[in-house]
Amino acid sequence: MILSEKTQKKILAEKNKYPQPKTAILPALYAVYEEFGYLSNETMKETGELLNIPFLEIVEVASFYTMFPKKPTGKYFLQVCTNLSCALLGAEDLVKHLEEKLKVKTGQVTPDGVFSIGRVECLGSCGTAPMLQVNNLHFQEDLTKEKVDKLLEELKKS
Amino acid sequence: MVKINVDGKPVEVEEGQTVLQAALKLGIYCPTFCWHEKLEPIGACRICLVEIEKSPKLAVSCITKAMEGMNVHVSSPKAIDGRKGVMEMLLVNHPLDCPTCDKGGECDLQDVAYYVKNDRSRFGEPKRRFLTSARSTFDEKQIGPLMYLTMNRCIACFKCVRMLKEVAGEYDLGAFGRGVFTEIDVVKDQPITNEFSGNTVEICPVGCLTSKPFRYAVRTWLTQKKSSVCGFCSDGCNLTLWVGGDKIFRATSRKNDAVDEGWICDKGRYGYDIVNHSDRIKTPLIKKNGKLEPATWEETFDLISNKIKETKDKFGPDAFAGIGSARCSNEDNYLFQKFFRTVVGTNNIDHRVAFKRLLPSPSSSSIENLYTMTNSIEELEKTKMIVVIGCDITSEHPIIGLRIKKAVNNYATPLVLINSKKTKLNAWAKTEILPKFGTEVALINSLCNAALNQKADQGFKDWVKTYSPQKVSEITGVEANAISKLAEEISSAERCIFLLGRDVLSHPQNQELIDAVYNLAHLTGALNKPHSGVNLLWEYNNSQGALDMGVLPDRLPGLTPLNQADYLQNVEKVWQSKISTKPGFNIHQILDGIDKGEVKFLYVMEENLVSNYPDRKYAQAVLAKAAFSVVQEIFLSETAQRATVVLPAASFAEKEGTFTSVERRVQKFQRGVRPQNQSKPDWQIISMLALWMDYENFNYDSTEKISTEIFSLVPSYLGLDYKKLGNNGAQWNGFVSKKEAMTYSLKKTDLKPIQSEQGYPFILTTGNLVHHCGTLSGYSENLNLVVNESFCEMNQQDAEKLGIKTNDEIWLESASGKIKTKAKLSSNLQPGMVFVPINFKELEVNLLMDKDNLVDWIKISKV
Repeated sequence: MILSEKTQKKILAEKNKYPQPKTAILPALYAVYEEFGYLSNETMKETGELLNIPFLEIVEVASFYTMFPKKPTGKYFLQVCTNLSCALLGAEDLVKHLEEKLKVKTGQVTPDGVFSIGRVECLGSCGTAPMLQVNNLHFQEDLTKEKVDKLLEELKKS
Repeated sequence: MVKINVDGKPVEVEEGQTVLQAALKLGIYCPTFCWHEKLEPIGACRICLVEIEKSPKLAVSCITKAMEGMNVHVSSPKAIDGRKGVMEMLLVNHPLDCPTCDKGGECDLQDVAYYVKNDRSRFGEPKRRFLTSARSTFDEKQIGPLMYLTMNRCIACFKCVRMLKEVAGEYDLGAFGRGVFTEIDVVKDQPITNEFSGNTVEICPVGCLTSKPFRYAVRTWLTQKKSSVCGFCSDGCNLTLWVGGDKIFRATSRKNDAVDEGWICDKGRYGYDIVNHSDRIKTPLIKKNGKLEPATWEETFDLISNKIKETKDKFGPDAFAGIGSARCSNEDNYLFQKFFRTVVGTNNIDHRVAFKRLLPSPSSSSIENLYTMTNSIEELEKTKMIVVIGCDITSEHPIIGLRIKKAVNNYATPLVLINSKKTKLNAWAKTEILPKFGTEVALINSLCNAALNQKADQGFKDWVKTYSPQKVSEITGVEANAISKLAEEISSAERCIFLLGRDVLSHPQNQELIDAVYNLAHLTGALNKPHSGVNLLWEYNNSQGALDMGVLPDRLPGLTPLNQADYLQNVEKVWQSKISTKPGFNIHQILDGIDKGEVKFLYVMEENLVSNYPDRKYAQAVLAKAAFSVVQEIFLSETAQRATVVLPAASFAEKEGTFTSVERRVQKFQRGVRPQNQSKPDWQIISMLALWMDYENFNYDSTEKISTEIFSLVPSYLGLDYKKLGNNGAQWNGFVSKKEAMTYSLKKTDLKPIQSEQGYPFILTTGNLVHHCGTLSGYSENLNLVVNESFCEMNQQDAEKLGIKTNDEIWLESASGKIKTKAKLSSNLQPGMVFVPINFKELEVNLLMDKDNLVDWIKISKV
């Protein structure tokens, strides 16, 4: 198995939590994401085997949730919400700004492997739109181009 | 029950039913796309919006439960306006390519667009496209050997994916992504080949999924629909044939809830093309100087009738033999045996060509001798436990397999599989037992031992005690614990249905095995409970009918023995002829008779003796020896090639009549197309031949006349009415309906261990592939697109020892012959066993068989 023992244990623990193993697909995918930073066909196949769910259903769920990248990302995966509230407050401009600043397109990784850009579906932070998320963990809210620049500086330093 | 009003009309529906079902019950039309009566509603397309009084918003009727006192309006202005809005949204991305779309004319989206009467859209943006290549115009993509996907047209109803997951349990088509970019696709370019894939094309409401054989072939309004019944396996699915002129364009399901619930497998859906196949026999043929030459019907009838008279005068009636067919209709088989019993005057007829060890002829004297399915397909849902013995259900009986899956999914019915190999159904099974080949009798005896109770007398108890779990565990290779546990499960089941399939019928101890299962059913009470019983599943579309019609050496129609005086009298009166009461030759005796020169005249009706008889060399030799042989066939089969006279017969789609399915359901099928070329329906050939010989009581001008004779004479078919058979057919029950009150006496069925053969370490087993049925489907070009190559499936460890890998060419060799094929490694087979499909005429698997050895031992070597 490609999945580490720790991740395998996590997935099996999730499986035992619910009456329907299907329920455990999302938490299991989080565990895989945590280990690899993205979901590959191989890791999804193994997740399916562990949960005893057909591979196809795992891929279906993973494809529905845009916050799971399906190929390797940069160290910092910047996902900009482009749903309604964020879009009204200039999310598209932010994406363009990021693309210009980092000199890569959405879905690509910077040559140094530090950043990659993605779009994400609504993360429920409409009150503080526009926003982006770093690595499925940290929300950056009430964004402006300046704030984005500052964020990039900070991340580069750390 | 819940009372509601729909459009002002009161209606009562059961609790839990939806508003949509209430409207449909009243006959009020409400458009739907994602709703399907056999699938869980999901409310995805929202076109079924209705207005419900006191509800703030329009409601999606397919997922809104009917509640007492609801006032629903399907036709109110608000509801109509709401549906218009939904339609406009659905059309935002749907391409306007109806003129080039294959679905045009039978498209739900098109129909509903006309229904909502909104032909303007406010959306002028470019439409969503799923580009398949930079140069694509329609963005089509082939996703399987028989299926195309045009994703641009999809309206995301998910019916295809839901059908495969919910009903068939197949996971090779999925819905990926989200929102308008939701994409139906196969995963990782793995082509979709499951045996129910064609149903997704049929239920697709738009032209997103299309089938390769039908696309762009014809517009549906130019075709006629004919009600037919599938001519492959014995499940008896109802088909609609779409015909135009002499061509069949496609087959779709014709819902019969008692049988198929509107789903059919791909064999039935795509196998129709055998009818229009260019290799069909075009005219009658007569062998002259060792070559078959075209002849006229008159010439052949002259020749055959003269030969019959001559042979009969010289050698008497017992120099004749006839082989009927499990593929032909009841009418064909009835006339066939009537011809032999009256015109010729012999009982030398049989149709059970593929079995080395014949079961005794079925008899209605007791339930265990009836050798039939004593339950119905529908009852699988009502039983509390299903035990499958010796059958790869998904391959041999796909629709029964579907019903089993439904029972497991919806009613949590425990499923037990007892097979010598792992089958596809094991994902649904609660228990899977894999006894060594040939030891099944011991296993069942041991289950009887564990289930002993006061029903058994001391003698039986003492005998069955010798089959202790420990001892049987050694014989069968099944753990003793597993045997005891299974016996416990079966005994405690409230109801239990046993299904016995192909591997039981062709088992070296077939009769003992069936008796042993009856013992078990008796001891556990399954014989006397409702929705319980032992069921033998015959293989082909009219196997049951051929038995019922008396194409047997010792049975008159209706499974009646020849010497049953009152019935014989009745038959003689109707047939206006004396009937011999001397039992005739069975299939093996017929061939031996020809071999010895006793049988001079052989008549074969639609049976490929050479490739189906379990000893090819012998069958070939015997046919070469036959003084005169007539073969009535669809294709110039290996058997027909060796005949003196060949008569072109019509296939199931070119004649009408009745088939009796595995569950004793007599079903009427309509003629789809005119018989191709000069072929004639089998019944017509026989009746014309008899008339040619001046037998006036063979004057049948339609199948209805023959059916009427059958339905007024054959005991189990009494009371059926050809005109009233209708869309669902009718089961003959007779004796079976009384089975619960029957007494049964236990039988001692001892295991006879199979003898191994020095130098030949592997046991050969055969069967049908998921996409093929018998040798007939091998002619279907559509089905050959899915699987067209034979192979030999063998155990992985065995192969490793011999240094064989998948796709390596290998020799299979037995004492009788040698054939070459490709290896396919699998973990489904136990060590020491191989499986070869019977479906391909290129691979002459029965060349390895010897009719006198009940088990076929072979050796394998690399080419």
